Amino acid sequence: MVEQIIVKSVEEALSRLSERKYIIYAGGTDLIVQNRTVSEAPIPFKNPVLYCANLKELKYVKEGDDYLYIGAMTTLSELLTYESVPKLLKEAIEQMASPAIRNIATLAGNLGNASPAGDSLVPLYTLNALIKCQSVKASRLIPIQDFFVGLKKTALTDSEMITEIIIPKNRFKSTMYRKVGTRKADALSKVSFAGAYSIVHDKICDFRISIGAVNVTVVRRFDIEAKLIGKTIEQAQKMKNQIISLYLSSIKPINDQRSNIEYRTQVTKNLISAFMDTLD
Amino acid sequence: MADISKSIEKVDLYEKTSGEAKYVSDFSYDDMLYARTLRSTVAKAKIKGIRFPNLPEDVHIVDYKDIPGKNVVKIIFDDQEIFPTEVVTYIGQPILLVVGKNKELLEEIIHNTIVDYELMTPIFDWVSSAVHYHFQKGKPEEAFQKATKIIEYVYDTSYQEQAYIEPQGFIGTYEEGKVTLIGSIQCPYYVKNALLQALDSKGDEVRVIQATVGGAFGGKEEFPSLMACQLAVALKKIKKPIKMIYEREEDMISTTKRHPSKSKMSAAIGENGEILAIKSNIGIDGGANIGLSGVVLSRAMIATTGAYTIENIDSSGDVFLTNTVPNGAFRGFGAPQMLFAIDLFIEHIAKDLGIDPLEYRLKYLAKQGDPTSTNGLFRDPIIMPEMIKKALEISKFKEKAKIFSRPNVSKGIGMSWFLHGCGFTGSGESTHINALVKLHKTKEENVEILIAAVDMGQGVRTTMRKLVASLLEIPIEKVIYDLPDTDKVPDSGPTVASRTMMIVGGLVARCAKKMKDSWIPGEMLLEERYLQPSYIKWDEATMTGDAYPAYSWGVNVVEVSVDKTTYEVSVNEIWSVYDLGKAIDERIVIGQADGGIVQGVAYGYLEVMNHSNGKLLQKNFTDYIIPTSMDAPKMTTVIMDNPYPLGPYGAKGVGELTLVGGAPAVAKAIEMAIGKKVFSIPVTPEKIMELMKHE
Ligand SMILES: Cc1cc2nc3c(=O)[nH]c(=O)nc-3n(C[C@H](O)[C@H](O)[C@H](O)COP(=O)(O)OP(=O)(O)OC[C@H]3O[C@@H](n4cnc5c(N)ncnc54)[C@H](O)[C@@H]3O)c2cc1C
Repeated sequence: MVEQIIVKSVEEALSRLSERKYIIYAGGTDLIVQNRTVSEAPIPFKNPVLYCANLKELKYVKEGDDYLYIGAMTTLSELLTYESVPKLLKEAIEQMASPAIRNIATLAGNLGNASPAGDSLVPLYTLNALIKCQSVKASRLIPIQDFFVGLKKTALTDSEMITEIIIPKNRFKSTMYRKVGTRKADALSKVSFAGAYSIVHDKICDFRISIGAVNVTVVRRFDIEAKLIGKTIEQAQKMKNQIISLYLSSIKPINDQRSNIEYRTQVTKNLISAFMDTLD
Repeated sequence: MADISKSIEKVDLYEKTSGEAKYVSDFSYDDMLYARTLRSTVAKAKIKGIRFPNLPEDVHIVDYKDIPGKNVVKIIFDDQEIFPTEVVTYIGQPILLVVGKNKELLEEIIHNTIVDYELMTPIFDWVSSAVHYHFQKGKPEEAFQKATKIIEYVYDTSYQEQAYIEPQGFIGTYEEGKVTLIGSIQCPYYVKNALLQALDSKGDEVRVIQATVGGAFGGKEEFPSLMACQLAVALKKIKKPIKMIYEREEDMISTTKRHPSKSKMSAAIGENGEILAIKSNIGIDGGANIGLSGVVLSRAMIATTGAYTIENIDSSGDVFLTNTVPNGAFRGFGAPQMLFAIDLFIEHIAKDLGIDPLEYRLKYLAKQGDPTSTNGLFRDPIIMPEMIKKALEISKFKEKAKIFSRPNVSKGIGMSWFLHGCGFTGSGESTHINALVKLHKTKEENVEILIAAVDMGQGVRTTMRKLVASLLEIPIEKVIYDLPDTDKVPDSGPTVASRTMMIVGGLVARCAKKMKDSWIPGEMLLEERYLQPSYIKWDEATMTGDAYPAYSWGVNVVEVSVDKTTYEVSVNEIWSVYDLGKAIDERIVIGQADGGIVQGVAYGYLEVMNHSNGKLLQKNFTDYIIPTSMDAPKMTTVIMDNPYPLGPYGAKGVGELTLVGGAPAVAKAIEMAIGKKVFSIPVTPEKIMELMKHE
């Protein structure tokens, strides 16, 4: 069996991480499933484990003037209790897993797991979240779209851990979140969607769409969004088909045991369309 | 006396909620070994050889060469080997056991064992019929010749996995020549009889004990016999306690499921739009061996006209063998497939003829005195008209149907009517089972119920005790009903076919009445054996006569919304009305009703399982989607009394009835919501998208 350590402070965690490779264990709701084995046998972790769930230092939600700061070990259930947590993120969390899982699972774990179907990723992309990655030596703030570098790959190095998730405060006119799962709870997403926009003087001044589970990472296209900035709603509506086909060029849905390419593509189209219909 | 239906506390409530109940995985012995299974990774092949890594001395291999008796799992057809001698016929098929102390080591050994296969051509198409049945009622050919119109549709159903929360498992010991197995099972005597044949043993050399069972749904009817035979062979060889419990994924890929089916339905329509005859042809996928598939097929075929009476019928069907996991018993046992087909078919005929489906269906609803599909007789009162009236009322079906039928409402309401034959099909109860029950009064004046019926969560430990206590007018605490042990209880038959309360309970009740009439202080032992009522006649060869001694009836109404953006279905509410004779305990019936309808509706729209070249694609609960409590809507269940003279207090079957009408009801509701005919379940969002494409 591998070494298993319950760390007492962030400092201890970082110093251990500087020495060798560890598995960072937050709620364990991904790790236990991924490392499962036969019953009545210990979990066969391939590397030593750092249990971090008890780090009180990392359990918080703090509000600043421009940003919201979420400690990495804050559970999903705890996040739902804060008024300051944006609605878009709350809507996603409310539909994640089930109460028992949400009571131990964390946002950092959802990010660390880097699944293309991770449900918090989609709103976090739309919210322009920043991921704070810390090592003994330094701390980096990585914009979420740069944090994911490929299928199940992040920019995190072995000596770093996520200590905080930072969300800029936004005032959107309206947002839309949709999870298209296999059922109403404990479901993996077939497609997920988080849109937001703002309008000033009858013109669109902010327009964001993130789409999950249809490519190796979440799809967010700043270039497409830019095309709508400065447009009136009427102009935007006329561009709807063009916008939809631009998004379709950057999705690569798959056939699997849960759904198929046709469905994922059609629903992506419908969701973009439904979101654009909310512009008003 | 209080009404027997009045609910009491479930007798195992405390032990289950406190965690005291002992499931098979909670048992262990000193010096215990584990058995793990090496499985076929190919759909069909000859095994040329097996190369093991270096095996430690205390690791044992158990295979076909170790079987003392016949290398056949005794079920109905002798076509399943305990361990393959030469050829494997499906992916996941057990080839041999690796037995030893350290489970992780066993895993490693299995991982590093190489089976040399000589591949053969597997069959996945439904071309190889192993069982073919055919029966007729009336003169269907003439009716088809007279028809002014013929309407034909094909209905498809898919796999369904039982999804019991506790996987299959046994633990066994070998002492002084005797093999004892404790298992998660539905049918202790099926297991015992299979072991006797496999071990070539005499009756008292094998003992089977039921552990607390964490769900079964038919999945623990015949499948456990295979596992038990393998383990017993290992016990006889190694002579040490061995535990063998499946992991979820191996359970899902290798155990029996509900048979996928295809039903070709055609109706001869007369000049006034009346149905002159119905012809049905159903094919079911048996998987790699027949097992119980023939019996499943016959139940499906007997349900050809469901809750309706049609004068002329031609019904045929086949079990097709394919190189896929063998399919078998599952709550409903063939009926859900055909009831889906027929209930939608009649609806579709009405729609095609431009007649209100409800009116049209009422015309054909079966009545007391009608001949059944197999020319038996519906002897007992049928109260479906009252039940339908009630269902319409509580669900506001007509008002809603009117609103929902308008375009763009995206809501729908569907209603199914159905029946379920109680007990074994045909003469099974008398020829196959011949149930025996005993009632034993001890010196301490406690009354022990000696039957082999298994409580797998459905509540029979509560209802049987309640039944006996009530008849003897003694407190329920004085009635004992332990988990069955074949060394102690007689063979009262398997816990299947919604037969336990009606048939076994009926015998127990007769015993109790006799005990009461002849009551003396001190020990008493009474027994009762099943006798087929003389008026029940069944001809197996032509499939004519009374297929069942009695029928339970039901109406399900399901309301759904379909999301236009994502094609997702939400079940908004469910209403059910049942005639199950008499509820022995209302809450227990409601428990069956709630679970049954959720499982039945999910079969219709949610639960997806398919295979690709013999490999099942959904092999855990991440991918095989069963409903959660969030998916289960508000449910209203009405039980209407209609006592059956031979059932205890008038009770008939309950367990399966509550499942079989779910799929047609939800499928019809979805039809209304999307304005398209549905021919295939589960009606997934992916299918709804396809249907809606062709606007
Ligand atoms: C029944 C069930 C249902 C689920 N449903 C959903 C769902 O609906 N939607 C969804 O998105 N997910 C779902 N999940 C997956 C899982 O619960 C989430 O991904 C959850 O957010 C993971 O958080 P955790 O704290 O448990 O992560 P862990 O399992 O502890 O960790 C996950 C990964 O992140 C890494 N990690 C954790 N914390 C850090 C850190 N601070 N710094 C660096 N790396 C870190 C770990 O090393 C590991 O690789 C479900 C899981 C289960 C078992």
